[in-house]
Amino acid sequence: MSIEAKLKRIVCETLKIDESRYRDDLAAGDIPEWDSLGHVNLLMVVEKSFNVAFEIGDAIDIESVEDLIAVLEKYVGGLHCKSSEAV
Amino acid sequence: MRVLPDILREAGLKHPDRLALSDPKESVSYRSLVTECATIAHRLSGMGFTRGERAVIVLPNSVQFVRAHFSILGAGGISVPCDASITPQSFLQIVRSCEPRLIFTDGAGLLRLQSTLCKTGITWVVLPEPSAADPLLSQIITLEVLLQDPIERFPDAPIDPKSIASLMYTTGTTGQPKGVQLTHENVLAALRNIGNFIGYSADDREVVVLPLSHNFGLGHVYCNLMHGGAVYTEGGLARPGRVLKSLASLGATGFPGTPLGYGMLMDNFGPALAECGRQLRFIVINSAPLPPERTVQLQRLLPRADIMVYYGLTEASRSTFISLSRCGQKYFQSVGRPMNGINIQIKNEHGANLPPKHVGEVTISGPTVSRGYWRNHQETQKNFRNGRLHTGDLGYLDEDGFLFITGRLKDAINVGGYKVNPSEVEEVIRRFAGVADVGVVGLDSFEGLTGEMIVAALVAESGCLVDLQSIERQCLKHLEKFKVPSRFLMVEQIPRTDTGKLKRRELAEQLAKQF
Repeated sequence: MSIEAKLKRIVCETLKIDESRYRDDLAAGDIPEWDSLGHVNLLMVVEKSFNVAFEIGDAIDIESVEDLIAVLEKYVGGLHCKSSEAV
Repeated sequence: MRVLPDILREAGLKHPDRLALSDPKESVSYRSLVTECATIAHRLSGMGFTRGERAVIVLPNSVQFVRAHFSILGAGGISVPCDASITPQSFLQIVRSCEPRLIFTDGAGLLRLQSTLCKTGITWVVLPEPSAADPLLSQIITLEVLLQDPIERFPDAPIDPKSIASLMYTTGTTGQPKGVQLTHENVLAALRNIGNFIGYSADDREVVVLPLSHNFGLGHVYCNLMHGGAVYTEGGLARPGRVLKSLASLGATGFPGTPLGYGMLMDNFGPALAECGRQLRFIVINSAPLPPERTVQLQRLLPRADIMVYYGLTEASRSTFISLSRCGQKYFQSVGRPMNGINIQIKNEHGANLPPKHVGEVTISGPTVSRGYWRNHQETQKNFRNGRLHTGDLGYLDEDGFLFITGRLKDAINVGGYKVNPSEVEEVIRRFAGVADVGVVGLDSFEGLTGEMIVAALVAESGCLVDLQSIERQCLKHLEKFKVPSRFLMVEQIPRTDTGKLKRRELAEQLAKQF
């Protein structure tokens, strides 16, 4: 499964939103479900699901689905990946 | 300064070219802000918006919000700030209560409220830009139109300092919204006290992510504008990275917040908070008690910051203040001493004053105290008696006049005649490792003997398994047996207001369905 497809499922499940509300440019604060607690929860679930640990400098740059994809592309299979079975 | 528009009037003269406000989309100097607010105020008057009429604001934290607020005040109107995400039902309740003439909102607000707007008597809808949405009975006017032919001075007609400046609707934790009437005098008296306690100057810059529709957030905007400081604002901490970066880029000296917000930042972005906030001079925390261990944690992260908390209801603004950093650990659970001109008395159920260290209802009088609720005689009579606000909060004063809040009068749970303060139980459970949040309520006991039974709802920290039996043992160790909850339930979320206050009634309703 691609990063984008897996992330879409995680975002919808974690924020409890219908897939019809998902967009690649969806960002924190755009919908009531993606509030401060939703944001922190989403980051944690993404880290766990992809078996990565975001560095604080990267974590604070994440504001949107696009940001998550960009950061995950950097981490998955790269130096920050905890396991080769990340995706 | 006699009335609130004087804040901008004077700052515009003293600091015309300094930055006054910014948000993710725009920045304005004092000169621009004064001119824009004055121009809109003149236009509103020209549209027939007269003194004492109400105008509702449904906008997110932004320069637009502050512009709308001061424009309404400048025209002699009454500003009614509402939460940007207000539901159509709550909006309708507020509008039916205050009968506004106009609304300042944006495209998102209009989209959400348009079907409700046609049920109201609102004549004008002011939008930042044209919108395709049609609010039917109201007329749309854009800011661009209102801002044509700039006028540098607010309308000359004098505003009575005793007149109402704002209606702040408190949904509180229960019941119907009540419009707290705040006069220009009320607000200015509070701002002078806050300014003196914090020591604001023109060098201060604050990042305000608290909702501007509440006194806490709006108060920090007022204070900075009053002293020539600058404010960066956005709505909440949904983008913590952007907020933290704004602390650094603005060189913020202040960053007010809630225990919930600071807890989230410390737990997830601690090093970034320490780095971006290292220049912070003061931090004001309110809306819920700041647990002592959180105070220690925050002070370690930001050693230069003066951590302050206050006690204040919308009805009385900031009534007490304390610097936890200066007063030390002994006072970590106090909310401080009364501000200048504020009198706090602790009353028993018969209305008699209680001596120090005796718990009773906290009552307040002074220049910051509201005259009551808008067109709500019954609630006004209930809460404002003999010139004092009866807060419904339980607390005591110590021998040095420091106030300690111990719970809510009406939240007390009746267990077989014993009164239990749910906050005390929550405090014990919250100390248990792995507990992210907790709410304690009283529900009718189906066992029929105890009147109410105590039920604790818990949220576990992510990845933690919470052993409910261990928590029960901890409660038995630290509480009298009748205070130990009969039931412990794990839940996904505890309902709280957007400033972090526990919605105890809503929680009780949710939990009752499980029995």
